Amino acid sequence: MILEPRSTSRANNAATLIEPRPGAVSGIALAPVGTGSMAQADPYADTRIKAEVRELSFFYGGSVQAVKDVNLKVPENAVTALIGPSGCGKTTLLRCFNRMHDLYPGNRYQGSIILNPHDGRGVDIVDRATSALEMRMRISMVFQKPNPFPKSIFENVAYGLRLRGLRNGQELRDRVEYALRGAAIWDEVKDRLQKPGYALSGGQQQRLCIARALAVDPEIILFDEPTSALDPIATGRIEELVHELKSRVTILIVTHNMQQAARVSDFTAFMYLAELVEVDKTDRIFQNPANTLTEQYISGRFG
Amino acid sequence: MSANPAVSALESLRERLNRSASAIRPIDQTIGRCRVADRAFYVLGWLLLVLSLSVLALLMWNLASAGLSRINWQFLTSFPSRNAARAGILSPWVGSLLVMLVTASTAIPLGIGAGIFLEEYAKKNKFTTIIEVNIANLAGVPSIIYGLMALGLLVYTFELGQSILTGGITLGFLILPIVIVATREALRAIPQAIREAAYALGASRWQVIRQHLLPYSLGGISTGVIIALSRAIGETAPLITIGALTFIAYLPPAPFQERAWLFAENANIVIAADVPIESAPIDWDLSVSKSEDRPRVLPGSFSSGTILLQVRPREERDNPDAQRPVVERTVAIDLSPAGAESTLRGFAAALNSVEGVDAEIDVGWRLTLRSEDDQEFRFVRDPTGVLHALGIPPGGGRHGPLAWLNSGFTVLPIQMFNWVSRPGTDFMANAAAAGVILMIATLGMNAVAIVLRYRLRKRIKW
Ligand SMILES: Nc1ncnc2c1ncn2[C@@H]1O[C@H](COP(=O)(O)OP(=O)(O)O)[C@@H](O)[C@H]1O
Ligand SMILES: [Mg+2]
Repeated sequence: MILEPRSTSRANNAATLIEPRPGAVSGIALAPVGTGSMAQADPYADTRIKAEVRELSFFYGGSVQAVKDVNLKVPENAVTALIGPSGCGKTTLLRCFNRMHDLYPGNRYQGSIILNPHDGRGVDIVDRATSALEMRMRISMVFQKPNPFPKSIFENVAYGLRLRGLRNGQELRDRVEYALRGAAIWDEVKDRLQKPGYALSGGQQQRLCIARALAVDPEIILFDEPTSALDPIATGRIEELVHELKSRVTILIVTHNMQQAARVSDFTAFMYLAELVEVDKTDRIFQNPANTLTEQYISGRFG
Repeated sequence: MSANPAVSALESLRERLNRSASAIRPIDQTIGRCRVADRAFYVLGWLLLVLSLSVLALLMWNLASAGLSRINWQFLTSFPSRNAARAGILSPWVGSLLVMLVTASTAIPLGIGAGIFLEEYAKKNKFTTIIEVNIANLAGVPSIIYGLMALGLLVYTFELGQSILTGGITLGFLILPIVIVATREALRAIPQAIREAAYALGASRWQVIRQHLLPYSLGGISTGVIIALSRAIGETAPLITIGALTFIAYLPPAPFQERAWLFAENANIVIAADVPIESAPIDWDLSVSKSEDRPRVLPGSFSSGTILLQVRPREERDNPDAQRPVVERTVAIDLSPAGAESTLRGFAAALNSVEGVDAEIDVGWRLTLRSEDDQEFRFVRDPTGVLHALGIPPGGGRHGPLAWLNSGFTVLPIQMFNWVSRPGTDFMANAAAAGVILMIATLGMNAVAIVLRYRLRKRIKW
C-alpha cells in the first residue's frame, strides 16, 4: 500500500496510451432522445478508466430487477456521481461494486464490472469466481447513515487494517493517524482516540467512517448518499473531503442532491427506472444534457 | 416555476382547510387528558409493583424465619443424616453445582452455536421456519417430558447411568431453547448497518461474527444464559425421572483424587472402596458393626477380623417405630489382598441368608458402619469396587479428571422435597434452610444477569 497520492499525470498519460478507442461501449443505453448531435468529444478522452460496468443487470430475490443493462465507465482519480430520482437503482448499482448484495439470499447479477480494464489484469467484480472479500478490501464503502462500530475511535479505523493482519505497533498507529488526517478529523479526535466512536457528532461519525474506509488504502471508495443524515455544515465538510480525496482514490458517489453532484463530481451519471440514461462530464450534464429526461430531472421538473 | 401544479394544489388545500372549523382538540386539552391517563397508569404501576414485591417478600420471610437459624457452617458442610440436627446439605449443593456445570457446558455452546447458525447462516426457507417455530415451542414443553426423553436416550440407550453427566445434559436440553432464542434476539438487535460496515472492509462471515456480532451481543446472550440456568437449578421433575438420588452421603470423586480405601477413623475399620455408585435395588440397609476383634487398618496395610453385619429394612431407617427386625450376621473379614475374595463371598453369603436381600456381587449396595459410640458412617459402594479395594490395587491409583461425571448425585430441590415429605417437623427447618440457600443462588444469578446486561449495554450504542 502506497501512502503518497497516486500521480494523476502518470495515470493520465498511461490512459491516453492504453485506451485508443474512445467511447467504445457507448451507444446502448446512452442513445440520445432529444438532440441529434452525437458528434461530441469523448468525455473520457484524457482519463484512465478504473472500472467499467458492462451490460450490468441486477435482480433482488431473483425477480425484482433494480438495475437494467447499465454501461458505465468510472474514471480513475475522479469523482463520478450517480444521480436520479428515489428508487431508480442508484444504491443497488453502487452496492454491486463491492458485492454487498451477496450478503442476502436470492440476489443475482448479470453482466460484468471490470476492475482495471486496461492494465491487463482486469477482474470482473461481479463474477462468482471473484472473491467478494477481496473486492471489498479493494473497494471500500461509506454508508448513508454513519455506522461506526461500538468500539473506540482508534479501533474503528484500525479494524480494516487488522483484518489485513496488521498488529498493534507503530505502523498501525501511523496508518490510523494517516487515515484520520485524510478524513480531516484528526484534529478533533487526536486527544480521545480511545473514546467510543458513537460519542462523536453525526458529521464526525461520518468522517470517522470515511477514515475507516480510507485506512485500507482502497482503489475505489463508494459513497451512498453520505451526507443525507447530516446538517449543512457537516455536509460541506464531507463534500470538501470528497473533493480532496480524489487525488488519492477513485470515488463513486450516490446523491440525490444535484447541487452536491455539481459541486463535487467530475462525471455525472443519471439513472432512471433502473436504467442509466446518460453519463457525461458533470458541467456538460448540468449545462447541456443530451437527453430530455436528464434535462427535465436536472431542472427539477420531476424526481 | 410559479405554475408548479404541486405547489398550487397544496395552497388550495390549505385554503379549504382554513375555511371550515376543525375537529382537532386544542392542545391544552389533549395534554390534560394525557396527564390523567399518565397519572392513572403511574399509580396503577406502583400498586402492582408493590403487590408483587410484597408477595415475594412474604415468601422470603416465610422461608427465612423457618430456616435461617439452621444455616451455619455445619449445615453447609454436613451430609444428610437421619438426625435432623446433624443433617446438612453438602452433597446436594455440590450436586447442584456440578450438574449446573455440565448443563452450562452443554447448553451454552450448543445454544449459542445454533442461534448463530439460524440467525446468520441458515437460509430463510420453509424448513428453517419450521425449525424456528419448533424451537419456540420446545421452550414450553413440560420439564418432565425432558426427563423421560433423557431416561430413554441417555440412561438406557447411551448407558450414561443415573449420573451427574446425565442430569446435566438433561437440564441442558431443557434450557437449550431459551439459550437459542436469547442468542437470536441479541443478534437481531444488532443493526444490519454494523454487519455491512465490517463486510465492506472485506471481513469474512466468521470474522464478522467473531469480532463484531458476538462481542456486541454478549450482554443479551449472557443474560439469557444466566436466566436459563437459574431456571434449571430449581428443576426436580426431570432429575427424579432419570433417577437422581434422594439421599446421598458422599461426594463425587474430585479430579485426580486418590482411589484410597475409605478409612473411617473412629470406627477403626476400613470399609473400601472406589467409585461410590449407589444403585439401590434392595429395600434393606446394611449396617456393619464391629464385633469383638477390632481390626485397625491403615491405608496401604491389611488386617483381618470379624464384623457384625446388621441388615435393616429401609422403612425402619425413616421410621424408628417400624417393627421389622434387624437381622444380624457375623462376617469374617480378611482385608489382605489374598483374603479379598473370601471376604466378599462371606458378605454375599451373609446377605443372601436374609430374606428379601439379593446380594449379587455385581450389584451395588449401601453400607452403614456404626461405631461403638453409635456414630454412623455411611458408604455407598460398589462390590466390584470392593474387589479393587480389597484385592488388586486399582489401576493408576487415581480417579480420572472427569470421574465425577459418572457419580450419582442429588440436588438442592430434591433434598428439600425429601425433607419436606418426612414425617414430623424436625426436618422442616432443614427444608426451609435449603430453600433459602436455593433462593439466594437463584436471586444471585439473576442479579449477575442484571449487572452484566447493564454494564455491557452501557458500552454499546447504535
Ligand atoms: N432488498 C431489496 N429487495 C427488493 N427490492 C429492493 C431492495 N432494495 C431496493 N429494492 C428496490 O430496488 C429499486 C432500487 O432501489 P435503490 O437502489 O435503493 O434506489 P435508490 O438508491 O436509487 O433510491 C427500488 O424499486 C426498490 O424498491
Ligand atoms: Mg439509495
